[in-house]
Amino acid sequence: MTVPRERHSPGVAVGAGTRSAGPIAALARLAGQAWHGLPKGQRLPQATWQSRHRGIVILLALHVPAVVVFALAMGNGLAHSLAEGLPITLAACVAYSGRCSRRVRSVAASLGLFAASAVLVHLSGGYIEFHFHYFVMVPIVALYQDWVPFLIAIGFVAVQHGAVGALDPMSVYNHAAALANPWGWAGIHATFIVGQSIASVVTWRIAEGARQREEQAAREAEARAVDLAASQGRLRTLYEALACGIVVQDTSGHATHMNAAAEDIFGLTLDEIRGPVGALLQPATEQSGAAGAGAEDPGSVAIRTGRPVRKLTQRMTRPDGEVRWIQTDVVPVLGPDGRPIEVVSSFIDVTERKRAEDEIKTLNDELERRVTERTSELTAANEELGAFSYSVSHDLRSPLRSIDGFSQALQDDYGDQLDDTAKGYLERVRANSQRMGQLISDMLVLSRVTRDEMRRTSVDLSAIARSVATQLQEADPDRQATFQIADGVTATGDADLLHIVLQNLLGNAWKFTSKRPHATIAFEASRDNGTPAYVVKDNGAGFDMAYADKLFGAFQRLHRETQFEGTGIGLATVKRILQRHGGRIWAEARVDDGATFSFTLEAERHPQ
Amino acid sequence: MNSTPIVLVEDNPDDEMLFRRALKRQRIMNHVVVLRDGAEALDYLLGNDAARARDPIDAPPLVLLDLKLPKVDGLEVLRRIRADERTAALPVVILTSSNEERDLVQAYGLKVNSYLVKPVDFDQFGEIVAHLGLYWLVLNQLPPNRRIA
Repeated sequence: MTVPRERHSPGVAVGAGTRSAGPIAALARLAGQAWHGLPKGQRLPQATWQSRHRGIVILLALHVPAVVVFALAMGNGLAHSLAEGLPITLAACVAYSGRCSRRVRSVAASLGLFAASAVLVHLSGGYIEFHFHYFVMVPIVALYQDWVPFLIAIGFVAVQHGAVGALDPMSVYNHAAALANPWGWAGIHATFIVGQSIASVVTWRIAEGARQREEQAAREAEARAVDLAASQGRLRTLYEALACGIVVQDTSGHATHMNAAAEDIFGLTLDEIRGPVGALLQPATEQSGAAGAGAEDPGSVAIRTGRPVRKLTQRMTRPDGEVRWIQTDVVPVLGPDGRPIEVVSSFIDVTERKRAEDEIKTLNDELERRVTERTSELTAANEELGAFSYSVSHDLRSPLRSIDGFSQALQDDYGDQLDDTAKGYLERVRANSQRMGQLISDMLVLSRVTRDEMRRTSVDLSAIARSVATQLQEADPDRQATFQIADGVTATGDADLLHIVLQNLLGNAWKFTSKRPHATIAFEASRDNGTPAYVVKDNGAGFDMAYADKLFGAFQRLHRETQFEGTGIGLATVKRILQRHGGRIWAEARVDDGATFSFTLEAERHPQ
Repeated sequence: MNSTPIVLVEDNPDDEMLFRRALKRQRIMNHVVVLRDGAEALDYLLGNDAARARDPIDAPPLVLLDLKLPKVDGLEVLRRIRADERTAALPVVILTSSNEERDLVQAYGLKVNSYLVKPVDFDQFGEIVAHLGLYWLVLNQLPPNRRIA
């Protein structure tokens, strides 16, 4: 498929134009300007043309009797006189006919009028005074503001004067010079007619320009009116469709406009609102919900200050008794002098939000109250526990000391009177009192780790583990043991409590490897599902995993006292400390194959 | 050996007896004045001014103070001893069953000279008494002419 291309024609005209540049071009330009200066014609609106045409046809019709009467008065016979009126009557009939086009009717009326002039001049015997009729008719024809009837009329004058003047000079002219040269004088008459025509054209052009400007202005005004109507329609739709209530008040506070949403919020129509809108609303603070004493209505504030009032929460009681919370924004509309002429208020029903907020506040208060209650209960319980431990610490130990001390005294002072069985019994008494002393001490530690305030810092667990290991080794230098303690293991927690943890775990490892010829005890860092974990591992006696759940309960023991001494409180204490840190402890072991204790110090991080 | 009696403030006669026994086993022969509660202790050491004028005492080389005492507790006794210029410099050692942190903190806050915990095991208790006697009654030097008027 080929796309037809526009052919550029060779520049013949351009070439000719350039050769004849100068006076011809200047003339052409002048002609162009003159052409533009001429009126365009055919511009009359139909209604204007009709009214003018009607007037012109009436004028033409009136000429018919006038011409007949004049002809009779000039002494002509009736038939002649009626015949003089005939062409005018014909022209009037065509002009009047609704079946012809506007232009034909204009031409007919114009020809009729000039024919009347010619007839009058002819009947008067060429009197110059009757020529004045022509001059009256020219501006009347010019009223059509159209070239065709205008030019035809002017041509008719020239031709009629020349032709009739030649055939029957006395019916056109009444002086010797004109009678001798009818065409020459026809030219003179026509020149005056042309002169008057030019004057009419200028008037016509001015009128046409003015009409064009008027029409332009009218079109613009109409467009503006359409825009304005659309804009108003939009605003009205917006105003009615808005979910927030809009009320317009005058400077005395009376509502003048109100949208549907506002009627819905207030439960009142515009007519039902009597008095200022502000009276419907009770000012209230959002917190208390109580009416603020002496607070000014926001509409009045906006009118008084000329400034908007923003986001004011108010309470209102609807006519149906329902209480609603309203958020109000008031904006004054300022007049040309900058003073408010009315105010526009928007109202948003925030009852639901307010209710939810109140509910949250109530729940919060309740929660706060409960927390306070629980805290004080807990504080009381803690204090009680503290007092109890203090008393235990002081009072429970002295009877034990007496039991132990006097058993010893008995042995020392009366040993020679006792047989071996009695001495054995005394040994048992002493051993048990000492064991009870240890139980009390351990219980006090357990109670203290629960009670004492935690101070979290960065703690060097490796250093603590090393110091515990040194103490254990020094307390029992004969034992063969290797401690494998990883370097640089740190954690965040309470240093004292973590010391107790490692003391217990490493102490247990030390205890349960005591029957091994060579003990190996390790402390290292690990990970439990991404959470930092810490591990104490030994190659000691281990335990049966079936009883692992009993491991961390207070006073729970998996070994007989005769095998490994202990109170069964240590691991319960460790568990409590780790729980307080947010972590946990667990163990894996097999009988006679060592034990591994792992612990964390923070809640588990759940992988994404 | 110093002839001035040491003071033991102790309400439990068993503990008193065990203490005396431990002293004896370590062959520490000092006379021991036993006071049963805090009020008695304050009366003996500070007294009221009129009584003291008639009967001044030699300042004891050592006051052993239990904490849990009837009427006036040990820490209050310590506070009053330190507050009185006549006894402010007296060597006072706390000898108690408790190793509660707050007791330790308060006692040292009141300028106690030493703080010892009585163990349940009599053998260990004996060792502590032996160290105590050796240090405070044999090794320790006191200023001369110490009388509480």
